Amino acid sequence: MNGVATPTLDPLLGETLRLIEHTREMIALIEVGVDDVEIDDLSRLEVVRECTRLTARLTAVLSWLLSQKAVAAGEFGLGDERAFRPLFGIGDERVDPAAMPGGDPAHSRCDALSALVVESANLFSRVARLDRLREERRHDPDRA
Amino acid sequence: MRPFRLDALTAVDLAVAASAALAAASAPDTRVGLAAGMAFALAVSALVWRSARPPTAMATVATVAAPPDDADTGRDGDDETDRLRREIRQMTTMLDRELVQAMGDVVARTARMAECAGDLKAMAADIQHSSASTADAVGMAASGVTTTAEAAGQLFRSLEGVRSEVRRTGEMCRQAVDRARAADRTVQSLAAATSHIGQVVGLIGTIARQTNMLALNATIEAARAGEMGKGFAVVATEVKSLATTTARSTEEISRQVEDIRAAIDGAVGSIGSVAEVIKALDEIATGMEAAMSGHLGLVEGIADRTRDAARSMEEARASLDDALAVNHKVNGAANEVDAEIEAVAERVRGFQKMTSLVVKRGLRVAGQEAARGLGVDFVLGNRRLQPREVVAEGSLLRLRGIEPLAPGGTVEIEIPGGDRASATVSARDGDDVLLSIADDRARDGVLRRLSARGGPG
Repeated sequence: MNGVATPTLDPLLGETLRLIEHTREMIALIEVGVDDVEIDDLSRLEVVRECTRLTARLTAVLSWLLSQKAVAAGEFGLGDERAFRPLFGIGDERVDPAAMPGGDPAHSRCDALSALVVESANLFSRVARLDRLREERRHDPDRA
Repeated sequence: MRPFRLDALTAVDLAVAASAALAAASAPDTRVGLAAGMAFALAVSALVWRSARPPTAMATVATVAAPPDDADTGRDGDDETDRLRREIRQMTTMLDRELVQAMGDVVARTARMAECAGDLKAMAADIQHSSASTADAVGMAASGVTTTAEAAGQLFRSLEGVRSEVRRTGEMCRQAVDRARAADRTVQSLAAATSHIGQVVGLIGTIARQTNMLALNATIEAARAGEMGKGFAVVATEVKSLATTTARSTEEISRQVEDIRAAIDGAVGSIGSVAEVIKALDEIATGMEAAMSGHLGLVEGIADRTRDAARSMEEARASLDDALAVNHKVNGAANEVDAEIEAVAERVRGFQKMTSLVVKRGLRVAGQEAARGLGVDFVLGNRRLQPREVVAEGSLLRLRGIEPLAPGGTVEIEIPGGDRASATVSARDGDDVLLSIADDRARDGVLRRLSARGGPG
């Protein structure tokens, strides 16, 4: 089998779901205005963009993990392209915590967002590295 | 005859000196008048010295006028001579009195004129002092005015620079106004857009939140469904679809962010250009402030110089007032001197008349005396000649001090005793006339009388 082993996938899946839940909580907090700090429209829009980007990144990671689970479960064949496309072009933006919207460390909301962005970017990097290894094994079975 | 001749000459000299003094006294130059007055005073002083001894003078005249004792002059000649002596004595006495009074007057007025001259000298010194002060003040004023003019020139050149700066400032202000208007339009459009942006951002936020929540919830549910046996392939495909949708939303939001950022950058750029112009204006204003500080210094200097010049001019005016006052006094003193000179001149004119009268009478008496001394009369036509002196020169007779006679004329010589002889004017020699007596007897008679009188012959 050239897929990713389940012992490797399950912790990542659990970590991803945890981040997704944290992200959902954070977005819910933003909605109810728990952090009642005035920010300008541009910053607010940037926050929205980062939240959406975070959602897209985590969703893409989860999609890739589920695809690998499908491969591990034999639902996808090794030649099935659906098992390899989820990460292409989604969630691979470079993340600069210092460039996060708001930028003010006293902003609890922005702090939470920044922490999630950094953590999600770290997760994305690890998953992307696994995907590269998998791809290499697929193209060079001798390295497996 | 020599003493008498001296007296006659003295009278003539006195008359000449008096005439010169009178003429000079009438001269416009006061100093010349004073000098002439002094010369006249000296001449008169000599005469006064002589007049101080009137008896001696009269004796001299009388002695000279008296014919020699051995002269055959006859009684008629003696009576006439006595009458002339008395007349001369009277005139001499009058002249003496007049001299004493005139000299006293002249001396007094000369002293007064000396005082006036002293006053004039002191006043001239005052005028010189005032003039020097005036010159100093005027010099200072001129220096102040020159400095003021130089400062004004510097100020003018500096103001030229300021005018250029002001012109440049005006141009910059126009640019600033144009840019400010453009910025104002941009900001106004941005302000108008901002209200829409707020609404749009709010709408985007709402949609994004809902999208995110849906995606996250769906993702969680899909994961659970996969765990619960629905099949990972199915849920993975659904989650992938959610990720793709969310990613598109991200791109859309990113475009909105870039649009807003561009609008803000445009407004910032417009305001920045206005700020640049304002900065340039500030630099120009700083330069103008420095220039104006220089101008203030120049104006202050000009004001100081002007005050100095005004002060100097005031001092000059005061000095001029002093000079005018002194000049007024000098004019008064000069008028007084003129009056004194006129008085002296009037006194001299009166004295001249008296002297002239005395001289004329003296000359006439002297001529008659000379002729009487010889005991002969010289008659030309119907008038008697009155020579000052008669001397023999060989066979000729020289008559001195008579009016000119034309050579060739005939002069009748009357000799006491009834004799007469004719003489011809042979030549003229200045004021002298040479007579030639053709009749030998008559010539001898005249020469004999001359010889008997003791003259030089």
